[in-house]
Amino acid sequence: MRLNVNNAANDKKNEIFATTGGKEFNPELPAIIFLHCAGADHSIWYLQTRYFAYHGYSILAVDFPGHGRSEGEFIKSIEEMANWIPELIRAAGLEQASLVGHSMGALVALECAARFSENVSSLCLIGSAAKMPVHPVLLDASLKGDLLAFDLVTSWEHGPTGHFGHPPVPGLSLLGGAQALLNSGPNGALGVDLAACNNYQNGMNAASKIGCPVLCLSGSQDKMSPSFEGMKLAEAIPDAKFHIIEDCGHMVMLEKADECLRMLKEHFQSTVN
Amino acid sequence: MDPKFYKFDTLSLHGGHRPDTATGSRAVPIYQTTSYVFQDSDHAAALFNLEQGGHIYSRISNPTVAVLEERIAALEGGTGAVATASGQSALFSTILTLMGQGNHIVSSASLYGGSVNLFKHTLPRFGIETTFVNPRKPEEFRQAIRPETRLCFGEIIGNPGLEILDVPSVAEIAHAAGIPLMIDATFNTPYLCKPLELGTDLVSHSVTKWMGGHGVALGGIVVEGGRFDWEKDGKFPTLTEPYDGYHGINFYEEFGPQAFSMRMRSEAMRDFGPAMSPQNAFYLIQGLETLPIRMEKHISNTKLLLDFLQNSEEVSWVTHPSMPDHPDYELASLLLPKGAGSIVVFGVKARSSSGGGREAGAAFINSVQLASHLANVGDAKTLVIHPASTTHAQMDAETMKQAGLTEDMIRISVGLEDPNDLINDFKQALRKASKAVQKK
Repeated sequence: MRLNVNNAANDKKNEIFATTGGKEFNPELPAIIFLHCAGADHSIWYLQTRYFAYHGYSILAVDFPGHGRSEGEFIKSIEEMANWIPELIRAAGLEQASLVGHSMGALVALECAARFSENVSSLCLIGSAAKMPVHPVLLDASLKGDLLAFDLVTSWEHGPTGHFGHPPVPGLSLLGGAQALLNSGPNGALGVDLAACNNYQNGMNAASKIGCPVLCLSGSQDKMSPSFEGMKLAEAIPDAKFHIIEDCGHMVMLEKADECLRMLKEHFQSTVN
Repeated sequence: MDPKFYKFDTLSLHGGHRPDTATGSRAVPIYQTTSYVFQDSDHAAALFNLEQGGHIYSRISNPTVAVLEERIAALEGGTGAVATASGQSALFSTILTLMGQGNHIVSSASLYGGSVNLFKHTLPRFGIETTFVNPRKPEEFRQAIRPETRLCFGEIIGNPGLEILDVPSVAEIAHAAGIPLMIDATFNTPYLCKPLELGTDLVSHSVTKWMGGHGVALGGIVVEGGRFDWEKDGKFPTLTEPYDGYHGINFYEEFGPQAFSMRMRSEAMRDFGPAMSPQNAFYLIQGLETLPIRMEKHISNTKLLLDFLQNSEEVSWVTHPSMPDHPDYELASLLLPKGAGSIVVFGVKARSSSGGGREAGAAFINSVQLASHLANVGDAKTLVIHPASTTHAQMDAETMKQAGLTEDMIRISVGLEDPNDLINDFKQALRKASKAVQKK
């Protein structure tokens, strides 16, 4: 699905791509918007989006501007990305949507829910933390376009399922998939995104302003956003639920897709309706 | 800063598997089952609609086979892999995943005879044509590409001529035309060369050969590189347009860099059914565990045997890409720095005016005692064959010439025996072959 979405950061409309999980988008149904992590695109969500699309929800797994199949310039801060989400919601003919964000996408979802409570019906923050300082070697490499950045991200974001294998979908390689996704992405996307994560300082303040139902999911072996940081964030959000997924790294929705889906199902069944 | 990925030797042993949580089994269990119990009707429906990952039926996927797939995907650096019953079914399934009637393939002429048969005699019945080109002339790939071409294909180490394909150049030519390059990497294995790192998009293997390494089980595999843009030129509707076979799914949109693997499993494995058996996968996994140390020995034995053959009076010619006088020596040194495989081809000298090299070759093959005369390569044991009368016998004279095949050619697949025993066996067989021809 392609949408024309206004970008307040540069006051331009861009054609934005979002997968709808294999079903036609119907704005009458409860909507869930999935927000990807740094340097990635919508395809990280395929083990969740298709299920919800076939179970009574309308899905938009979006590519941020300049990422994946979306046109436009990169948005350079979490706050500006958060400002962009209501434009996306309106472009899709919605008033409100649930937001599911991973890592950078979780920061965007958090900040958006704090700024635009009227547009956000519930939140799920995966691999999240109030602050996401990026290792200086990684940040430097990503800003220089050094391929080392892809290797470091791929290695650090995966737990044992990624490094040994045995992913939810037989025959696929999580590390190989991540490498290919980062390599095929637009030049500079990872650096811009990681810089945005590194610079974001408003997490705890935003957390205190959240009024909608929130689920936080962390992998027990997450090296990028350790689970204790995820728990601290969850504790700062009123009435948020926090769940640790065992034996799992940062890529919760791929490494432990079934458990992630089960938690999301429970969350949306208890909140959206 | 080291990203700390597991290295090749470790992945050969551990890739795709962690000790079984139910039993603690350290070895990969053989899941000898056709089917898998669903948790409930919702779970069953989700699996059938590709909403969740998991096993449904062993024609489509199996946990033991999946370990092999994930291990080889990791060794090759791919985004995923689909294992099949044989190398040939891997090739056929790939082609049918990518194209249909009216499409066209450009292939190196130096291929395994079974692949030549598939391209030349079988696929035309399905409306798919192939143009064969000289592997030593990448420009011929460019010249042969047509608007309906959907695949460039080759082997890095040609069979049986041992021509080395300039993979980076052919990949560049294919990509400029919006076409993927597929490499049959059976002869090199990822230990010697990873074609995906050279620009290849799909890699196939007859896992039966060096990967399995013991001549006990058949198997094939296709590994996806994940970097080819299937959508850009609109040439691959099977991947980029809605597929009614799965409720209108668009594989490239949903699965991105793993689109090919998902489509091949969802359609080719489901509809054509070339599944690998879990028992075979188990045998092949045992072989993979020792791939690095076996390949090292294959290469060192090959060097010693080459030294012997080069200095033997009964040998009229010998070739291997590691020899400085081989036409592709420099390219082989660049693409295959650890060794250019363990296939050696040579001709037995014809000593009389009436007896040709073909007779001398036959006499040699009939005289070996340690080496086995059979139609396979990549076994732990040394194998010999006369391709002109066996593996490539269906070729006409012109195709044989294109494939670099001569009537006197003997192909050796160098095994892991003590090299002195191997050399002694060849010495006595060459002596007998020489005498047999002289007597005529």
